[in-house]
Amino acid sequence: MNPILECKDLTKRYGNKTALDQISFSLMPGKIIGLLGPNGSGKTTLIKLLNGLLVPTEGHIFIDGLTPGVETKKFVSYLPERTYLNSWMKVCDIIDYFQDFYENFDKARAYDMLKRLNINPSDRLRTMSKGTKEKVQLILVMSRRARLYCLDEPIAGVDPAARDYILSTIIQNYDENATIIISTHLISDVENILDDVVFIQNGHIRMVDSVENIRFNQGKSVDALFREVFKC
Amino acid sequence: MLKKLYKYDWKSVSMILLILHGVLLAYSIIGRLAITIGENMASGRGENFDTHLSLSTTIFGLGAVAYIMIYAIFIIGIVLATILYLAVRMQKSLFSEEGYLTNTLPVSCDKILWSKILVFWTWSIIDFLCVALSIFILVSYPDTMPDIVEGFHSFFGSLFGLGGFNAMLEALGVVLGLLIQYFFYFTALILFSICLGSLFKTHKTLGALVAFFGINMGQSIVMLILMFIIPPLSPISTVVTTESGKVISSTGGSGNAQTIFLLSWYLILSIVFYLGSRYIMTKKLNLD
Repeated sequence: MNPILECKDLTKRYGNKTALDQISFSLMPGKIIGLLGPNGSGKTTLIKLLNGLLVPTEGHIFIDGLTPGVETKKFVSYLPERTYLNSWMKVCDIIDYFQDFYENFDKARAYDMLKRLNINPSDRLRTMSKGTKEKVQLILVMSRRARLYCLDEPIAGVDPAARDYILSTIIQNYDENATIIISTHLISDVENILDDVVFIQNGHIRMVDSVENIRFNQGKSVDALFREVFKC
Repeated sequence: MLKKLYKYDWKSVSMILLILHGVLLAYSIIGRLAITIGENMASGRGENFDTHLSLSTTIFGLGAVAYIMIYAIFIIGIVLATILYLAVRMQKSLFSEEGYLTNTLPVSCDKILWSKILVFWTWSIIDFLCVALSIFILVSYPDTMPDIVEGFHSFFGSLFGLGGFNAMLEALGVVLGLLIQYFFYFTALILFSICLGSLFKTHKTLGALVAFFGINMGQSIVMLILMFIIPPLSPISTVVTTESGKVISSTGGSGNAQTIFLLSWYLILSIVFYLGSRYIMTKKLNLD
């Protein structure tokens, strides 16, 4: 089985600042993986590289053996940490947009999730609150039958009730063969749904392990280990 | 996929531009109606606007001057606003938050760029047609129609060879020159400047503006230097003749050589700008 994500000596520099420094690791498919690290550790940079929004300074990144490009974008579903939808559009327009461009988009699933959240498909995005926009964005991303979901800080900045909804949406709407990478620093909220974790700090990979191993071998929760590893 | 991209890019810009151009046409029709009503009222009393016989014709005259001034500003404004708005939308769609969606679509960079270019071209044509129609609405009277028809006849006659081969070449050169300069060079330069601006760490819009004016000035200087150093392209011509008018020697460029040079120059620059934009989008993309 090929790794779904493989980084080889991957480096990304912004001017003099090194965001990722020769990182090498690989992730196998079919798991929910937490990309965990404090703010500014390089999580978003790694996810952007994976989605082709940044170009590596050095090294390589492969998604299912392919470099990021048109082919990988067909099966990678990306939720950025910001709102990227055109505010002039109605929710139903955005659903049509996703269906037009992504072959694996499930329109019925999207409308079903909207209905459960009482979001009117005829509403324009500019009339919605930030939280509702984020929910719409998550619905769009999770309505794709993708092989890899990249969720960048999906629960940051939302209330605990919304966090529960977001996490349950993620769990209920992904194919078991698919992989989910969740980038966050809110460990305790996501710990229960993770299979593996990647600890990242100052552009270096500190640890790649399964949650089971951490609990069994170290006798700690991921949250406790995170606090220990990233102690200030 | 290009068709789909075009559809959404078209939708994202067209609402405001349609309203703007609708207002221009409505303003022109109102002006035309006002002029017709004013003229009818004045002629009904045996007056005309040139002699200002009464207060009402004077007021109408002043109103007409104000209308024409606003109209001139409106025409210039709408042309500039259309270009500026389309450029801003291009920048937003490619490099702002919206760029996160645009650049993660499973479509090639060429299709993304061509979609923007095609929308720019479409709206430029609509803009031109609306401005032309607006002017036509205001200037087409029984008195002026013969001159308008004659102007069109003369231009298209030259273009289709009715005025001789040289006149046709000249007209063709002018038309091709305008088309290449606007649709190829200008569009590609806007796109390239936006892409260059995206490479700036901060002040990306300012960077795009500096790139636009800087490149435009730079290429003009290089083009002029080339025209001065290559004799057939020289814009300065000297002719030495005898007293009887016989030409002894002549220097300077030929019109045809200059036209071919300018067309090639702008075409090559357009290709360079497009390839540059493509390079930045594929190799240097850096969405903050």
